[in-house]
Amino acid sequence: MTIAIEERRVRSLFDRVEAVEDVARTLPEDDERRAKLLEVTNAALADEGTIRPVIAARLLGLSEKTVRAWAAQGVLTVAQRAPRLVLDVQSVHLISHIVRDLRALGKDRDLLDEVWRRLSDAALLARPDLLESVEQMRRGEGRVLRPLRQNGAAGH
Amino acid sequence: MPTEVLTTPRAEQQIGRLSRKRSKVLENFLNDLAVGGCRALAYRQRPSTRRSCMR
Repeated sequence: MTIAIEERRVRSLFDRVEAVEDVARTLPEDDERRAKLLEVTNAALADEGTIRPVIAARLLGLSEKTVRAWAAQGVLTVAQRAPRLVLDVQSVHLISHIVRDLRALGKDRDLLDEVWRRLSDAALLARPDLLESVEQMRRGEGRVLRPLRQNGAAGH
Repeated sequence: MPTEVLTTPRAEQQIGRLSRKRSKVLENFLNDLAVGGCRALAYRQRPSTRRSCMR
């Protein structure tokens, strides 16, 4: 399959997945229908399976060299290294969201660092212990460890 | 920016299980956080949750 045809096919898949994701996001987080729609999008991406770096580069608006560097650094998930490098489509799709958001904010420099921070944030915010703590804080169960000092010195 | 530092019951459980060495590291981090806010140790404030700092 030529690069152009493969790019068009995967881009079309991403467009369809994003259309469903947009609908899913209009539903409350605890709505079963939301979860089902997101399962459908994940399954569609999983069916596609893998993607060549050259296609990922076109979809992400990056150079192939950058895509390979991001794969080497673990930002993009490698599905297979030999005989040729191929990437996990779900990972490319996730990163495409982040890159698009960052570009919309005008953050086109140091993109790798910014993407890495976003991924780290997402992983941290998915941790059950942190979610529990955030809920406790929202319920006003927080206890002051270091009071605010107007002169800049912490009280402890 | 000076910041009020709070903990939660869940966090206190976790803090209570730290070794003496790690507790000392945490104490130093909390002191830096109270004095410098999220910029201490190269953290930044997360816009969506006023009281959390993220790398």
